[in-house]
Amino acid sequence: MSKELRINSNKFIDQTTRLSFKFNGEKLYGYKGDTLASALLANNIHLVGRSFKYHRPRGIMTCGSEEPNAIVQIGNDPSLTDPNVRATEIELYEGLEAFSQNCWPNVKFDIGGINNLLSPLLPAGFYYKTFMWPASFWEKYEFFIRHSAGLGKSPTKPDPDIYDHKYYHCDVLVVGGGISGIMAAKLSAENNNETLLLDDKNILGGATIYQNNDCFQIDSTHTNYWLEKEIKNIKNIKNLTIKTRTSLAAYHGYNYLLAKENLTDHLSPDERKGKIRQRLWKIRAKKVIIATGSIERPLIFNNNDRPGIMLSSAIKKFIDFYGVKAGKEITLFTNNDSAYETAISLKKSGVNIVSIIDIRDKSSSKIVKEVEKHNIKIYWKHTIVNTEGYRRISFIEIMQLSDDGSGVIGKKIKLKTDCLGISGGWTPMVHLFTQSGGKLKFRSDDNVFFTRQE
Amino acid sequence: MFIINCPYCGERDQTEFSSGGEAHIVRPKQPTELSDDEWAKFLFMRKNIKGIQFERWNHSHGCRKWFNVVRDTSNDKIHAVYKMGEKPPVNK
Amino acid sequence: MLNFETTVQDSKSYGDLTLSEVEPILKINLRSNKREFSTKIGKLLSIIPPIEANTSSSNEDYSILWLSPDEWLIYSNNKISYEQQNLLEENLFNNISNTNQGSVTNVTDHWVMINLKGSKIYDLLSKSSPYDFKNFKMKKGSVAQTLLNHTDVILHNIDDNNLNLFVRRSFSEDLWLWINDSARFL
Repeated sequence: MSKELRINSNKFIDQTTRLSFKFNGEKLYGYKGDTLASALLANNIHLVGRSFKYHRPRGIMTCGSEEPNAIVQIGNDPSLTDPNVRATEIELYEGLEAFSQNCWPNVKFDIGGINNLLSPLLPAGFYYKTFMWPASFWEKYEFFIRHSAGLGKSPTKPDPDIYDHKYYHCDVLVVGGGISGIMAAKLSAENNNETLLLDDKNILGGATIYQNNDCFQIDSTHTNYWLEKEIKNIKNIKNLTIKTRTSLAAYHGYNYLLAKENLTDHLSPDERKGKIRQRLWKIRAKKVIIATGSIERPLIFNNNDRPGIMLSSAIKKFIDFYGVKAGKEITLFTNNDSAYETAISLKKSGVNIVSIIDIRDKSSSKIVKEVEKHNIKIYWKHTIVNTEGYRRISFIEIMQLSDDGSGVIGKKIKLKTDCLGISGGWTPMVHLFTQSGGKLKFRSDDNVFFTRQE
Repeated sequence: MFIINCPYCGERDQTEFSSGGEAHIVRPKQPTELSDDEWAKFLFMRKNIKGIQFERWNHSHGCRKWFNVVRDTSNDKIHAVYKMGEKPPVNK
Repeated sequence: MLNFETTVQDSKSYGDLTLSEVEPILKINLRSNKREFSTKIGKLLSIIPPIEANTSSSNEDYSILWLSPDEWLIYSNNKISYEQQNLLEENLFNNISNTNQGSVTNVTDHWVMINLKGSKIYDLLSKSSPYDFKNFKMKKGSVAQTLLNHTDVILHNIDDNNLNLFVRRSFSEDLWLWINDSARFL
């Protein structure tokens, strides 16, 4: 484990318990409390997989259940192997074995990568049109096509694990244990409602629990300390049941919801023996409160899919929650103020910020002023036009935006960086709401689709 | 999966019930006088509406009683439940 | 097999949960929609069939459970001999069936009664029953007919954390094994 990518004091990571794990056969180390993603980043590994069609290198992009890239195969036991697990979701345990998917012979050198060079010849629908003729050749094509289909490998032997079910009836179900979920659950339970609070992470608190920025305060304390106290208090409320490591999977009619509780997936194989692995909760709630928060949007530019390009909020979580620096020379690209939070967090932990590239003309918010004090170079009204680096981002090219914002002017500036944080604003997680039949409407103040009240 | 308010037992999960198809189908008084077409129509032809539908349900894993349900098939909303022999609460 | 002749002799314990088959217990199914039926039963067994849904009434010897507006299940609270059973059945038959007041069916061998005791029983039931036990739990004497592990059951709350479960004999072994299997993880 690369010590220089870790910051020392952190209450969420137990740095006294070192865990060993294997990624693509290489023995690595992390700490108790890490996810596979944070442990890989601490070992300076960004490249974890390959894209499906062109086999382009893929790195860790986010820090939670929204992860699109860092999808791995866990274990290689033919009865227990688990395909398509998000590295950002699986908690590290002693002896974890993970493998990259969709690459051969290995993730660093992938024969399939040739598809990327041939991409002009492989338009959308190529497979369907090309392999139809001559008809008798299908049996020859089939072998290769079957081999390139799908991502992970399914287990080939019966599942020896034990799974459990539970029907649960409650007055109020609160989905999401962030600050608003916690306050909603507290209010509801204190008003004599049987309340169930669910969160998919191992601890409550969402993004607020590691929010240590001076600009965010409640009762003149940092929001993380304030929320910590609240969490301690709600654990004593009689009507409130709290379930962590439980993710809601479906929202059916008549408030019938299905949730999956992970009971042993974070334990080492020895500790799992004889225990139930997962429990399916079949919840019937009178009222459901969806407090799932929001996810950051990426920004669009040429080659924005290289390993080392992450959401700026993910970089913030990796540094503030896991104590892991996502890079040594970090650049941020944004169209809003939230990337500046990341900049402050990085600065506090002593990470070098190359520069911040902002599409806007200027911003006069408090948090931007705070960043300006730190002498960080901000390129106002600039945009990224291209990136370089095959297995990890190495350079970015930026240009100034024209006055109307439709084109670029001036000279290309080339900046060296090993990690790029992007922030394109926030999208509310309305998935459960729409699944239950809710309708959305566009809110132009902050350019998001928001829930529409009937 | 919806909840049905059984007129005898109270609110129960749908799994306890079985559906008996369309309600209020009157058996012809003289089946022998019907043509094959008319008889087949009575036996097999059922409305399959998108919207408000009158249905028979049986609380098969509870009190085993039959009753009628007025259900909107487009969103599974149950508008009324009434016992066998009672008048439908909404004008048909 | 759980049966009138070959019952499960030993009770099983899993932490705070004890389950045991109770036998031989008389069980009689009654059906009637006649008005005098209630008073007749009252006279014969000194117990009135409950009218309110999902309830029961008990005296020292018998419990009578509401199953449907015109159907009840009587069972004896204590073990009872074959001879006594036959006597009671005959008595009810002569007074109710023969006088056209309703029907009397001896279902002693049809239902198997399992007693569940302990603070974990509702955790066990919620593993496989969609029924909301909130009110059932609170009210002594509550009756619920529902599904448990896809099997029809009748549940009778006889005391706090103590209930009798009736299951059809042919399903009883399956359910017994399921309960034993599930209770390991409570």
